[in-house]
Amino acid sequence: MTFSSGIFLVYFLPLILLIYFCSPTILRNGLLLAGSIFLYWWGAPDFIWILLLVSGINFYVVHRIHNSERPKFYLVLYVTINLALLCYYKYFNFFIDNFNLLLEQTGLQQIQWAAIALPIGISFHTFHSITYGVDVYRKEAKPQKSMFNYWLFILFFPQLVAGPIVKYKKIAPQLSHRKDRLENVINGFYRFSIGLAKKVLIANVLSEYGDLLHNWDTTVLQTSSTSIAWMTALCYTFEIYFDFSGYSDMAVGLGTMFGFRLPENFNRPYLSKSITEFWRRWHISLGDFMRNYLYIPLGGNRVGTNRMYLNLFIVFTLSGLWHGASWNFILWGVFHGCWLIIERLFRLQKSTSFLRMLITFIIVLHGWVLFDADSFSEAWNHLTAMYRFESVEFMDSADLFYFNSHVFIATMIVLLGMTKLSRLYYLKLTQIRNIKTSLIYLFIAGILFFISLSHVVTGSFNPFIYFKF
Amino acid sequence: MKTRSSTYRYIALTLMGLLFLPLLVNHLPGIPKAHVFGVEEQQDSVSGSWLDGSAQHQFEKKLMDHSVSRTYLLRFRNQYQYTLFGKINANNIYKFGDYYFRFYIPSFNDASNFIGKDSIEHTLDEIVQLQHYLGDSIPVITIIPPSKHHYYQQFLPERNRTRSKETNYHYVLAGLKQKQLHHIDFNHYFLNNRSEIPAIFAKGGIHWTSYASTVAADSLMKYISSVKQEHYDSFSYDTVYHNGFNVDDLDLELLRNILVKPKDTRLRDVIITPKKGKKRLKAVIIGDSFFLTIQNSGARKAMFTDDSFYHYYFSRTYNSDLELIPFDIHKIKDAMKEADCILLVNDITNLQVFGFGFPRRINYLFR
Repeated sequence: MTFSSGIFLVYFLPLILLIYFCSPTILRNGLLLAGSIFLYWWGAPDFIWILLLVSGINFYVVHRIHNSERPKFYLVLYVTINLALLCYYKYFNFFIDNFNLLLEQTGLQQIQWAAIALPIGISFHTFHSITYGVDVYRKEAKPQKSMFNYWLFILFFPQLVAGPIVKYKKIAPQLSHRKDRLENVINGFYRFSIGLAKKVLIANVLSEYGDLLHNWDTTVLQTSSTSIAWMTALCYTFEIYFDFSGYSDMAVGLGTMFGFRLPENFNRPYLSKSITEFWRRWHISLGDFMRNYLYIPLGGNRVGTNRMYLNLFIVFTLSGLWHGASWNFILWGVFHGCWLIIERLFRLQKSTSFLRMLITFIIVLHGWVLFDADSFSEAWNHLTAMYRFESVEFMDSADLFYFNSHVFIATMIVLLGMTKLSRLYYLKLTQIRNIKTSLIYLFIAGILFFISLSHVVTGSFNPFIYFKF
Repeated sequence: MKTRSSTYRYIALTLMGLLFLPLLVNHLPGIPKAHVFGVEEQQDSVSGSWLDGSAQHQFEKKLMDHSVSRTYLLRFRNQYQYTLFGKINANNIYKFGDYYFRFYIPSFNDASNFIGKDSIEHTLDEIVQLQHYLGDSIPVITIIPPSKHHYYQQFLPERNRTRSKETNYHYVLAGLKQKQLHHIDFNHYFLNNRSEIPAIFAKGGIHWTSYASTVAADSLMKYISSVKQEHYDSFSYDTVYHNGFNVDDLDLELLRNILVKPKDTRLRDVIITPKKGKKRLKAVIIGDSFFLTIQNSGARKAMFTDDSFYHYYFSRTYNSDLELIPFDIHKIKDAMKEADCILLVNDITNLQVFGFGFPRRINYLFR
C-alpha cells in the first residue's frame, strides 16, 4: 500500500486521522505503531515479522551499548547484525550471480540457489537502526525506554519505506513530547497534496516518455535519434526528481499531520553549481547520514589529501551500491565520486554561476543515464545515441508523436518550478499566516488532491522509484 | 487569538470530513452507481492467503474496482484530459473530422482477409445457378452494406489501410457486375456521399446507424420496385437530429466515460411510418448482423410480410418479432419458391464467408 494508492488515500488516511485525533494522547503512539505495522503487513506480510524481531534484538543490544563497560564491542555487534541483514537480503543474489559468472569463466560448476526476495524498506530500516545505535554510543541520545516507542521510530509509516532518513537524536524528543494540533492537518495535507501531484501529475507523465528506451529493443536503441536520446534522458532526470521529492513531500506532510517534523530531503538540486553542492541538495538525509556515519568515521577532511580523496571515493561507491545491487548503480556512485574529486583537484569553481549550473546539470543528467539503464550495454547505447548527431532535426515525427501534450505541459511545469520565483511562492504557501490564505492554500491542495486521486484510483500499481532501494 | 485557533480547528475538521467523502460515496445509500462502459462489474472473491499478501492484493482490487467513487473519479479524469488535451482514454479511438469513432477490429485489413478469386467465383456461379432455378420473377439480390473500414480508411493507422485490389470486396463486386447478378453496393454509395450526409456509423459499434440502414432500406424498396416492375413503397421516414444515442447508435460518450455528454449534431434518428394498404414484400432474408439494424429501426415490419423470415448466417432463423424458430432448410427452399425476392445481406468484413454457404446448399436441394 503506497501513499499514491487508492486504498491508502480513500481508506487508510482518513480513517487513521479520525481515530488518531479521537484517541486520548496516551494511546496515540500505539495507534500510529499499529497503523504502521498494518500498512507494512498489507504490502509485505512475509517480512513484518523479521523487522519486528530484528528491531526487538536491536532494542536490547543498544541498551547494552549504553549500560555495558564494553560499548564498542556491542556497537560493532549491533552494526554487524544490521549490515548482515541488509547484505543477505539486498546483496546476496548479486554476489552469487557474479560469483557464478566467475565460475562459468573458469569452467567450474555454478552454485544453485533460490533467489532471495528483497523486503521493502530494508535499506532505510538499516540506516534508521544504525543512527539509533551510533547516537546512543556517541552519547548524543539516550536509549529509548519504551519498546513501543522504539518500534514506532523504526516502523513509522511515513518514513519506513523510502525515508527521509531520520536521525534518532532528532526524533527522540518528538516520540514522547510533541504537539498534536488539528491545525497541523492543514499544513500536512497541503504538503502531502503537493507531493502527490508531483508524483502523479508530473513524474508519471514524464515516465511515459522517459521509459520509452526500456521498451525498445537494442536495434531501435542503436538507431534512435540524438534528440530522442536527449529527451528521454531529460525526462528521466526530472522524473526521478519529481518522483522522489514528491514522495518526500508526502512523507513530510504525513509526519506533520501527526505532529512530527521529518527532515527535508531536497532543495532544488538541479540548480546546484557543483557536484558537491548537488549532494547537499539531493537526498539530503542520505548525504547527511553518509557524512556523519561513514565519511567522518573514515577520517573525513581531517586526514591527508590522498586519504580524503579515497574516503570520498569509498563513500560514493558505497552510496551507489546502497541504491541497488547492480553494477550500473556502482558505476553511478563511482561517476559522482570521481566528479567530486575532480572538482576538488582542479578547483572548478571560478566560472560564472549559470555556466557552472549548466555544467553540473549535464553531469548529473549523464549520471542518471547510468542509473536508469538496466545494463551496461543499454547505458552505452543511450550515451552514444546522445552524441551520434545523425538526426539533425530537433524533433522528428516519431519524437513529436511520443512527446504529446501531457509531457509538454509537465515539462513546462518543471521549468517553471526551477525558477527562484516558484521557490519563494512555495515557501510563502507553506507558511500559513492567516485564515484567508490558509483557505486559499487548502483550496489549491484540495484541487491537486482531487485531480491526483482521479489518476490514482483509475491507474494500475505505480510504486515510487526509490521503493526498490 | 483564541478565535483564530478555533477557526483553524474548524477548517481542519472540515478538511478531515472532505477526506472521507470518497469513502462515504462508496457506502452511502441513494448515490447512483455510475457504471463504467466496457468494465464488467464482477464480484471477485478473495481466495488468496493473508500470509503471502495475495489476499490483500485481491481485497484491495475488489475494494477499488467496485467503488462508486472510482467510477466518478475515472469520468472526471477522462473529462478533464479530453477537455484540456483532447486525450481519449480508450483503445482504438480515431478522429474523423470533428468527431471520434472506434475501429472495432484493431488488426483488420481487407487484403489479409482475401479468400481467393476461385472461391469467390465459385460462390458467384452458385448464385447464378440459384437465380436460374428460381427464374427472373424471384430476383436474388446481394446487398453489400457500407464498411466502417472503408468509410474511415484514411483516418485509420497504416496497418488497417488497404491499397491492394486483391480483396474480397473488389472481386465480389466485379463478379456480380460481370455475371449481371442483382446487387446493391451501399458501401460505394455512402462513401461517395460521405461529406453530404450525416455520419452513418455508430461511433462505438460495428453496425450502420438506424439512419443509414433506413436510407438503405428505402433504396432497396426502390431497387426491387424497378427490378420487379411493381411499386413497393410500404413506408416513409423522417429524420430528426439528436445529440444522444440509442441502442444502435452507441455514442462515444459511453466509450470515453466522460462526465458531460458531448454535443454532436451529426447523428440522426429516424421515425418510420408504415403506409396503410401498401403491398409488403414477401422475402427470404439471409444475412449477417447488419440486417438487425433494419429490424430494430422498424423498417423490416413495414417492408416485409410477417412470414418473411430472417436466416442469420444461414444457421439460425428469426421471425418478424426476432424470436428464434427452428432452422429448416427444406422449408426455406419452399419459401423461396413463393417469395417476391431473395435478399443476401453480406457486409464487407464478412465477405470471407461470402454467401454463408447458402447458394450451394440450396442448389443442392434444387438439384
